[in-house]
Amino acid sequence: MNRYLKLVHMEVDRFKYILAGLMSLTLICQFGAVIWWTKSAVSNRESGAWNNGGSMAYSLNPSHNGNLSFTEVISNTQFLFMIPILISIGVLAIYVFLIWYRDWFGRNTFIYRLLTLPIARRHIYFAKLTAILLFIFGLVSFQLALIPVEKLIFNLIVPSDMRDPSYISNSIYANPALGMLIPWHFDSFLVYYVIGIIAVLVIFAAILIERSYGRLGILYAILYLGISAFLLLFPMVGLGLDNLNGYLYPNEIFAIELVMCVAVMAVSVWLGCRLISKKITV
Amino acid sequence: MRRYWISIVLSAFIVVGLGTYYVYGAVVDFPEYKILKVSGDVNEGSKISVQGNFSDGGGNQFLIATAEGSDYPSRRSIISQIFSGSRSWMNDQVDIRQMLNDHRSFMRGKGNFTSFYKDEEWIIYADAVLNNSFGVKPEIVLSIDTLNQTSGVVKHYETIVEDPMDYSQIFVEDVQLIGEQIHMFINQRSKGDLNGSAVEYHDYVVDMNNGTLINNARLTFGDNTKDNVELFDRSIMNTIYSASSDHAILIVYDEQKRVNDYMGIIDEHLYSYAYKTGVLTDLSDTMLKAGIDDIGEIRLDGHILTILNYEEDFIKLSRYNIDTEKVTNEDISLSAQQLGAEKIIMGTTKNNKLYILFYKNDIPKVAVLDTTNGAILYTGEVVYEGEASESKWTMNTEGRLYMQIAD
Amino acid sequence: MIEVVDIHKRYRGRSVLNGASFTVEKGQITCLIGINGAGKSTILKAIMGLTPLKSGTIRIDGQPMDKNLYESIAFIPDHLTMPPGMKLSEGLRFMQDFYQSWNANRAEELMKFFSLDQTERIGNLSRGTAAKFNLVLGLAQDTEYVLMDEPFSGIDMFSRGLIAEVFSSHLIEDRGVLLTTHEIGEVEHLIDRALLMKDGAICRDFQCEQIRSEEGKSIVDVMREVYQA
Repeated sequence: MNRYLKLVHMEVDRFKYILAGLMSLTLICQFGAVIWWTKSAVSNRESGAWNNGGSMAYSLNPSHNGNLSFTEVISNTQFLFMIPILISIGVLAIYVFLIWYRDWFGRNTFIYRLLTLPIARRHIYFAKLTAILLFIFGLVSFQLALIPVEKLIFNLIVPSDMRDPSYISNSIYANPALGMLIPWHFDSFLVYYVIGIIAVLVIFAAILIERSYGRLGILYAILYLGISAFLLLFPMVGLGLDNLNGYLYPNEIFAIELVMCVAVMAVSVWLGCRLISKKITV
Repeated sequence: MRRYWISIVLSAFIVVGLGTYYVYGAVVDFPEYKILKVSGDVNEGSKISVQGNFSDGGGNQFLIATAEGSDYPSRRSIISQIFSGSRSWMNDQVDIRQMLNDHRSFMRGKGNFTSFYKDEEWIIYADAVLNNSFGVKPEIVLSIDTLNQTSGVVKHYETIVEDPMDYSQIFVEDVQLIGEQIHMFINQRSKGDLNGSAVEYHDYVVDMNNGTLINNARLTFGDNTKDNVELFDRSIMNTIYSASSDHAILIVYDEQKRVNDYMGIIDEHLYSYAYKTGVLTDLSDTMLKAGIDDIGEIRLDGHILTILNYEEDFIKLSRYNIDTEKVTNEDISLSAQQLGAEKIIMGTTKNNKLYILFYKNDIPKVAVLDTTNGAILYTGEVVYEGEASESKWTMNTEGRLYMQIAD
Repeated sequence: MIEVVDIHKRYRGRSVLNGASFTVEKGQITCLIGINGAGKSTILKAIMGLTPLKSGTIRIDGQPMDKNLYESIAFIPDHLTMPPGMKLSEGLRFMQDFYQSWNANRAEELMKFFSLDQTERIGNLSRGTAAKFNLVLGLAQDTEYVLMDEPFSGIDMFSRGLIAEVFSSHLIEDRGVLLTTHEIGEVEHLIDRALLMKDGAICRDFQCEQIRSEEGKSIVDVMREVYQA
């Protein structure tokens, strides 16, 4: 257990600068967007354009009385908010692959060192998996932590007589990307992120297949990805869920889907551990 | 231990951050709108839900308010969205819901809710499929399943109706059992016609014991050979689809077209088809004599036709008995002023009660009346419940307000 | 004793190892000799469990390869296998974290011997320096066996001299060493036993002293016999 944790820390340590970079990017983009938009909205209102019946074109959803609410800020800065989120998702997606491949390619093939450590090799697999999860949830938590700070910035810029109150839940949902990243309901959160974790597990298994089987490895890996994707998607699209006359009832279809998810997860983990222990080659 | 600070801080941050958010989220939620009783019996208001919008700077939020609280369909957790979304049309009908519960295996693969018939002894599902692919002789296949509730015996028949005419779509409107004969009331449209598709209704009568086609009654209406006239029709079946009924109601109207625009309805007819006798009766004149001059929103329950008419400033309910050809009970008629409303938005009837949605002073309100005597049983209004400081929104009365009554 | 018994391996359709068998004794320096691509590195990797075999067995002190045996057998590959972002001190600490057989004092000793700067980053090391650090990582462990893959390749003359000194020192003394090379001139005077590889198997296996005294041949002579026949 101890050694597994040490490996996790090592993986985190190797990525720390990129992680910090993504967090900084998110902070700068989002704070910048909030400050810039709120300031221009306030000056727009103060300049009296609104009072003179001028168009409230500065906002997508202005309120009746011209007051600003934090929800409005989130609704109007969607694009700038989403850019760092999309970049982070892209970087993490690439790193799901790189966390393995960086140990093989390049001048110093660290995988030699890892595979000859006096530890069960599955610890290497789980350490890399844990690291990826820590990065994902770390960025999500960071995003979450930014929001009350952004609201505070908003409160500092907008004088209280111009402010309308807002519900945090409404504010978050005003940006659909945030609504998907940090859904209000915990069971939605579980569903989204478990799907993500299954994807990571399947990709890890595919990578280890590719690394274990020489020239044909890449074909086997793609085959594995294809079969897994099929098994996971088929119940929802191929069993007549939306079909008027579908033979299976919806909750039976969901049960089948659940079984598929558990099966694909279990097989991917088992395969990954087994390949790295017995079949992998440098 | 100190050199592991990055990993430790990261892990702790995740646990604290996400933990706080989801624990907090379980406690605090979205703005609550409720239907509060203003007068009358609070139980009468328990089945009402009012759908509408409010705006909060993030756009218009669609919500459904009831006496218990509010629901935000677009914000539901994904699991409830998936579960309530699939084949919800089946679960929405109370009679079908019951059948799904009681006879799970019989109900498999049966998706057309108008194809059901249920009484004390029998459950019948009768569907019709059109086989008209190119090069094959067109035919209609009637696929019938019967379940005897006492014995549990299930029978299946497939009866072919050969039809030389080229139909493009058929739809089973209603299924009834008269004696030992299954009646399938089917709407058939033929393909591309110059004057719009010709519509036909057929009453296929099938023997329940062996599936043979006993009769094929064909009902046609109107004269669509006239120039510039297009026929439109719709059917009114029992509000509870699987209930037994002696009649099917059809509304047919001719609409005269001018080049480039519609002139409007010229001629509207209400027909009643009696399954037992096969007779098609034009009710329009008798209804006019009984004082009903506008069909408005119409529902059929057994023999009773409920006709609801409303505009912004009045609402009127009439009940017409098809058998006796007379209006039963007094009409209920209310003006907006009598209700205390600025504008009446909609009305609907259910289980001998009339529900009215209206608003005054920007607040949506509801009223429930007993249709037998016109007495007002309940009134309520939609108010915002929550910390007074947080919001002063009212439900948007400019947007679409809608009311639904639960079973 | 490391026992390699009849190992076979195919790679890209070719038979890389075709029934190679030999043993490595403690206290002896054994050298695997062969032309490029003969499969020498593959044998070392196979012993270390870094690549699977089609058939055959490998036993270390009578036991098949197991994660705990990594404490008893060190592998020094032909290139440095630590992340370039790490400092040398961090690399040493990494080894200490995971190996109970890590001898921190000896590591210090070796670092001084090779004059290595602990604050330097691995990615910035020159070829020769990297090779020296590689040796530190392998030799500072108190293992019974050491496997070395091409320890001298591409190293400058003076560094080679230093490394050769290590071979004759107490650091190697009781251990069983298996090394590979194709630069036989460098190691001839260091090794006790030679294994000549040809066609995926061991075709000559002899003690160097013995061959010299009995047949008056040097290793290079034997190689000429085998490879230029």
